[in-house]
Amino acid sequence: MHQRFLFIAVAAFSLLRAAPVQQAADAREVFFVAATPAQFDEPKSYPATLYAKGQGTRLRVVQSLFGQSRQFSSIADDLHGTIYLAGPDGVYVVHEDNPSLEDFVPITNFDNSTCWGAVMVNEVHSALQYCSDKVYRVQGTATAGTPRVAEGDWTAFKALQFGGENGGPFQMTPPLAEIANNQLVMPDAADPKASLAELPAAMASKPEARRLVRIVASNDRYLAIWVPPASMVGQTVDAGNPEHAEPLKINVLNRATREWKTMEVATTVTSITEVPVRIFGDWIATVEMKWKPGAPGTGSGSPGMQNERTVPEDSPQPDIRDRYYNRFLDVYIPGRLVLKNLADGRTVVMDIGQQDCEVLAVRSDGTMLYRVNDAVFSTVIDGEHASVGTLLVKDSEVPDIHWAFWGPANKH
Amino acid sequence: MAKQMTMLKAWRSRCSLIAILAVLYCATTDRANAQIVVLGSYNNTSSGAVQLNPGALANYASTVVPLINPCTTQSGYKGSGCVWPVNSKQWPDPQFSFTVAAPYNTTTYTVEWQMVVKYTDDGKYANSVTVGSTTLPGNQTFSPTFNAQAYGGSAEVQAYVTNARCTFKATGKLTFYIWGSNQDPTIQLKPTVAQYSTSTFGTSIWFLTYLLAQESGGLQFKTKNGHPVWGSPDGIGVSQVDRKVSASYFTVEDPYWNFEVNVKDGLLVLNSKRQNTSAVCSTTTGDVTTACTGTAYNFWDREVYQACSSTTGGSKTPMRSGGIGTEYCNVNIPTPTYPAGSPSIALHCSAAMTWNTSSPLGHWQDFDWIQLYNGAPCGYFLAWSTSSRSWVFKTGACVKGTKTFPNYIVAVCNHTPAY
Repeated sequence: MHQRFLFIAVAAFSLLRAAPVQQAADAREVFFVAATPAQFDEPKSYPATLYAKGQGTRLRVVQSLFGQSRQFSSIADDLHGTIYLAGPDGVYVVHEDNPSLEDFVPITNFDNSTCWGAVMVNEVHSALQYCSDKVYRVQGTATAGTPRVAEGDWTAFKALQFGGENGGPFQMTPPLAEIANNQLVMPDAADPKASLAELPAAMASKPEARRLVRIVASNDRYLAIWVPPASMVGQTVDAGNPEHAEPLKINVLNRATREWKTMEVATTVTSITEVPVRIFGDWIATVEMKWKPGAPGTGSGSPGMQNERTVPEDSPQPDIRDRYYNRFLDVYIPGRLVLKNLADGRTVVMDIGQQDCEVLAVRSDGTMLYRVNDAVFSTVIDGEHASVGTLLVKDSEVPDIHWAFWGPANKH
Repeated sequence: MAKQMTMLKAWRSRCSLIAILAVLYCATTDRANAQIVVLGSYNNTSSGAVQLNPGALANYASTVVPLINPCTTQSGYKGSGCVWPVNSKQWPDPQFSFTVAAPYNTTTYTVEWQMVVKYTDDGKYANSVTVGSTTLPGNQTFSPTFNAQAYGGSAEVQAYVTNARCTFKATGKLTFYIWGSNQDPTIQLKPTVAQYSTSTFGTSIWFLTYLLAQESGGLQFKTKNGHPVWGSPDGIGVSQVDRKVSASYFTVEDPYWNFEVNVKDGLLVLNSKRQNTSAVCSTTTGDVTTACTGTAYNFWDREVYQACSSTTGGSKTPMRSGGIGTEYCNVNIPTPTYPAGSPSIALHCSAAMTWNTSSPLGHWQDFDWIQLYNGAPCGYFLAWSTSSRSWVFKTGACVKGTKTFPNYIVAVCNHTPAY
């Protein structure tokens, strides 16, 4: 049994104590992507902006990507230094080695309804693929003599890169696959175009069963999937009385050993929420959730709702608190971050005590960024311990930040 | 010449003295008696002219309250029969008339008239209308009209009276309130909705009587005090046209006071939420790949498209049988089934709980349309979830801020009709 180190750190306390601003040891600037994916059941969309740390603990705009009226839709991170943000009229490509570079690729037929995701073509070239009338590919970088947008390749999804579900109450639809016998395939088992992995016999299913699979995370080392129970697929959903799956059991493939393992994650999924799991290298991170029916408007007693942003209906910003109330119905979120290292088995638990928290990034040296309401903190994982982080930024747009990365090394 | 100049100066000096004395006379006599009484009346066709200041008191705050638009009651102004406004298309001008009382009601005096009506709604939007302003001889009647537009609230009529002998002015005021009385649901509201439904949509819309009932109870004015019905965040009147969202309808005050205009505006708002007919949104792929989901039928097309594509994977062939809102799939896909155990919507909406890909009106598509009239603050009522491959019904309450609102569709489908 792994020794667990439980660190109690109520976020309110963290915020009040005004921790000193940390200077990253390697002086690499931290960048933040504030973006709220369009929701499958809502008419609204929200802006997307790339920020860096500005004066004091304020944010500084590096690039305004999508304004609200441009209907930002989806985001994909290739986990190798390129992030794609897509909307109806095109894709913004954020280059982590040159964040201020404005790189917009116009497209006219973006569709995230069937397939969509970042891929590493031949393990070298980053690209974004999406399906419309056929599979399209947007090259991550421009190459002379090659069109930036061209027909894609279903088989490239074998190298799908998906960092997992963003935190906050506005989740995005993950990549989906199906099971055809012992193969995990896209787009569907009846007419598979690409095999993502071979499944263990216990997970096999006949193609005609069209067994649906949600991709939880996918990087060079691991592929994590969740097979929803039959009661949560293809059944009419009553959003006022959702089904749930708890404890959550995901299947993780170690690509190097080709071994599948079942992993229990301390969280829950309902018929109107997605799997709140992310992957950072070897670390699987989740926001703990528990099924706990409660009256509407109570948040099932989750702590910290009073600290969440709430805005008028005509605001361009998303209403964080209302969304938690309405989307995470009957879900208790204690504000606890749980990280498990798939390589060495370590577990790190951080008790934040605020519902709206998430892990934003974990670097191979253990440096970790996490968000609590409108503040981002930096800490370092040491063994199975992560101390209370130091405040990096605190600003009104921080609740929209769900991705963070370190920029190029400072030349000075 | 010098003598003439001296005489002229003396004369001027004498005249000036006379003028000053006259002014002093005015000031000491007229000012002392400067109790300008403003008399007023409005026309109540059921009982004729109603006096606003029957006691002829100066600066009177009248307790008589003209009520706009009653049809079946006898307590206020009555339109041209009970068929107004469908036939007359006229706001029932109360036909106010004002005079000043003696001794200023003669040609000896000149009166500068002004009538201003102010109203601040429950959302703190302040409105001010100058109904009329003019200068008339003291013996004439001030009958302000405001281009047949509606107004209401706190009215103040001012009369600045000038004595012709001097420049002195005295002021009189008459203040009163103008509130509203509700239209008759059967004789007035029903034909008004029918008229504008036809002109706006080309046909009658089956749910309007329930939607208006849910929005306002079918009332333009609060029954307790005659103020315009107001609902958060800033809905006004019978159709709850939102001043904040639909500001263009409030360049005049009519939506507050004229239920006909309010109905008309409400149906225009409803129409704007039905479909986006721009070229890019009129194609199957356009609805999916562009920003068309802000309107209900376009959203519906996207949902069916996604149901089709996620059910059939690569072999999808979503298409339309007609215009916007008629998306269908070339293979069988799951159709919505209202979840058992959820709050019933069958009372008024059972006929619409049906799958139809050739005509959206009167079928599942309309639930998202109804929801969008309310702004869909918690999302559309019916949507396709790709990740659970199922239709999702939003049957629960909607939490906004500190308030929990009952489910809008459930409320509409169970409400007593407005007419």
